[in-house]
Amino acid sequence: MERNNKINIRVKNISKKFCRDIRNNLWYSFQDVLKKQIGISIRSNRLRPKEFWALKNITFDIYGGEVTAIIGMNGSGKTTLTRIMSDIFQADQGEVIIADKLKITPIFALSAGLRPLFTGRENIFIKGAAYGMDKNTLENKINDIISFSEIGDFIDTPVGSYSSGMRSRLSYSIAVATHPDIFIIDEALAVGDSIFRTKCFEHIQNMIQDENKSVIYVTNHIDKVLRIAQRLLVLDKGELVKDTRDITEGLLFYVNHCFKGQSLERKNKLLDLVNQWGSDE
Amino acid sequence: MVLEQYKYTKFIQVRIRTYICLQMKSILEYKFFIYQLTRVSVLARFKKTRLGLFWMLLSPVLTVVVWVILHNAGIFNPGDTGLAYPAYVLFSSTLWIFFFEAYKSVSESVTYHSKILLSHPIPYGTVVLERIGFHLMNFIVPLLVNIPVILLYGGKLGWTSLLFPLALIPLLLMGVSLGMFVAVLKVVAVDFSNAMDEIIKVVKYLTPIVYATHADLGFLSQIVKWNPLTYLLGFPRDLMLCQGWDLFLPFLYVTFLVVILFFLAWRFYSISSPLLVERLFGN
Repeated sequence: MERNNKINIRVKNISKKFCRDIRNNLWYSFQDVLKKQIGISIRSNRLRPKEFWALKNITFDIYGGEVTAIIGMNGSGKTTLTRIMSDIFQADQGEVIIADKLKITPIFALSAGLRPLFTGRENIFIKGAAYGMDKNTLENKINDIISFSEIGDFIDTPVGSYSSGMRSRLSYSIAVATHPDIFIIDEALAVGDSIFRTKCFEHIQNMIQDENKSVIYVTNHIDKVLRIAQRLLVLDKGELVKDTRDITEGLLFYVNHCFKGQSLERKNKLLDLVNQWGSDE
Repeated sequence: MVLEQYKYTKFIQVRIRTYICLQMKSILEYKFFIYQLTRVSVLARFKKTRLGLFWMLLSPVLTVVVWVILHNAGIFNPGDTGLAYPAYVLFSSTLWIFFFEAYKSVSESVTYHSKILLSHPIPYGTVVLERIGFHLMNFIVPLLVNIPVILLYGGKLGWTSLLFPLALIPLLLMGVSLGMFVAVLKVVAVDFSNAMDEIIKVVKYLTPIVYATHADLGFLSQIVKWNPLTYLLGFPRDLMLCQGWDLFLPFLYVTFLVVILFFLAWRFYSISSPLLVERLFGN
């Protein structure tokens, strides 16, 4: 998928393995900790008993000026991949190369880091600090965050009393205030009201007008991909099975390839949705 | 444009020393986050309780009650403590709690902050520093309560008492170091961390808390003599209560060992911590 824009992230032969069994997982972890202490590399392409590849040999580039959607069934490795790209997980094989001085803001679970006993205003400082913002920056941005979140007078109410939509709005607004160069959104817009969601999609589209900025949008919702993506990566059982800029074609492939064994009715419904959007476009 | 025209950062394995230096640097960039987390942890503790600070005093007060009863019943001879027994036990117990809570807080750093570690790429050292900050804030009130109690029981404070906070640093480092080892083991080797918790509980009775440093304990006296906590806890206590410098030299030796232990623990924690997050799902 060559493109003329700047490459912001290069994902090169990334593989990641996990273990299905908790006891084995702990034992392997213990071994890995000891190996790392004495300088033995734990990066290996061999699976130990009960391990499996959550990601296998994934390679792609992320370009500036576009929204790249990553779609796949549950357990296909989408979140693991974005956690590796965000430097939260370490890969067992391969490497992620990030353009220098680019700021990555990942949002995974929107409510993570919010403290229910504290007010929305206090939480802006808590979660904002987790994104690496300092006190002065947050004081300068707090009005923009409150305004974007549309929380209104509830901003001085404990977050524990917020609805899930309000929490999502607050969290998303804090993440937006970091002004990231690479914005990784993992299923984060699945909740919240439709008006706010539309506002977020507009914000994402505005963001990528800057050719240096990229958005990586992880989901398994076809309609959201159709709405915002310019490029589609399809993951299936840890493997990258499709990389395309023809979103309709990519989604048809996704439904046909990944929904094998699913009910025909559900599959046809999804195919209709994609085809209908394709003809509208 | 092509990739090579830009400077790029690689998320790959670097030399261990470089990795630890990078960790230290990024911790400094997150100092406001550490402050916020500490503030939130301290305030959250009191937001749901009406009795608030009382719970921080309960443990040392209960220890005093139990040991004073045993002492008055003649079951137990603590030796020459140099201060009225209730005040001695209260103060010593406070110091033990200072050590034990430092250990416990830091050992829970990864599991306690698992959600935030799974969703934000923050340096792991930040959660250790937050736990230390939280622990120090919790310690201030019980420590201040000790001062009037010591004076009430006829103890005296002098210029050496001013050195007391400095002398506490090695005891803090000891707790933090053990905590950092156990923080990793708590995720990957639960049996080891449980064993460590139990060992520390036993060590409490082999440390001069409810008896004097030189009390005659029979065969246990030798174990107490070789226990580093005897000096890490005993010397600051002697400074505070103006009871002389007898323990200074062994305290210095033990401090030297504790500093080495701390650097080993920091290295262990820094190198192992990136492996921990993905294992938190299994815990």
